[in-house]
Amino acid sequence: MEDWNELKDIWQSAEIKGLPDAKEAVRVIKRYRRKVIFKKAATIFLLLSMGGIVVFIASDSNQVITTKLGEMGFFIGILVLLINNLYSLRRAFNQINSSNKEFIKYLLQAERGRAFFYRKMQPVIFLMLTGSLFLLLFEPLSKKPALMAGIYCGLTVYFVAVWFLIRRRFFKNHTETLRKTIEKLESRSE
Amino acid sequence: MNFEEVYTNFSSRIFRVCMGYVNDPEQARDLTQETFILVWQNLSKFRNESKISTWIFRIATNVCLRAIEKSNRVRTVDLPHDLPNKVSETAKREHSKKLRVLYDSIGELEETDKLIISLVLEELPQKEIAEIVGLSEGNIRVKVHRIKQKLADNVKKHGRLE
Repeated sequence: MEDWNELKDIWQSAEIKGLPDAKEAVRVIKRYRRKVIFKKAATIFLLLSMGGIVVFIASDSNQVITTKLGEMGFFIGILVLLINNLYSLRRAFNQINSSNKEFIKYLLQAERGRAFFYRKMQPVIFLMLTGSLFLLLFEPLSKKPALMAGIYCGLTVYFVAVWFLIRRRFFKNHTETLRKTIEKLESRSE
Repeated sequence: MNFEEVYTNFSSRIFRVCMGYVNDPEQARDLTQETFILVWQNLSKFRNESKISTWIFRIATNVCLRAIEKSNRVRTVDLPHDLPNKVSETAKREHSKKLRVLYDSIGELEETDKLIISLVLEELPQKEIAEIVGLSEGNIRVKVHRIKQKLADNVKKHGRLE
């Protein structure tokens, strides 16, 4: 065996270049935190605002049934995204202090959850929001058939492109990465 | 202990452990920074139930494990060595070569073994390593013995250190 002490000396002689000093590190961390908090707050604010607008519009009792169904679909979609966002953040935060063994178990569970979300939940939410938008637009556009046909055709082309081109490509790349990650984690948890 | 003290005492050690895991200085710096962001966020909640080193290394090793999807990055040749100026160029090159052999040899170990051997090289007691990894002390003792042998074999394969 190579001399263990020599290996240790070599390991410890690797001085570090490029790490900031403590004061600079605090500045970098604070800046990063502000950015993350702003991004998260902006997402939650956007989702809550959308929810608020839907509730406000829904308070008009003279709406036809298609509008009400559209609003309900939108509201459920926003709620699912909001809960998913907050729940995943909280769990990841709580698990970082656990042992490596526990953390690998958690990562495996989280990755499987993500795979389930992309495979099952995301298409359902996408279809629900698309359907809701079509329903919501029906009432205001029903008096202008030409405009309605144009907007509905445009939206259909857009959603078909997202569903069959963008989503499929994104899904393929994403599921492949997730599959590899899950395989690696499974081998570590054995 | 305030954050600045923690950072001063542990940043180099955390960097070395991350470097042992990813074998890429740039990514090791990112992982070190990520670790200290988490330490900064949680330091007020640290209740001295374990040693602070156990707590920090546990966060660092979990951050490394979480970086799994980035682990296929191409390794760079830029090594984190910074010997004093008076050391000759030949000695620097020699040291750099030895360091490369060591990192490459660690890089061929199993993922969790890389973390365990990095903690051993950082001279953490086996009791602390057991707490970090989540295995019994006896189990860690056996593992460390086996990993040291594997590492020695890898070092031989890559060319001896001298």
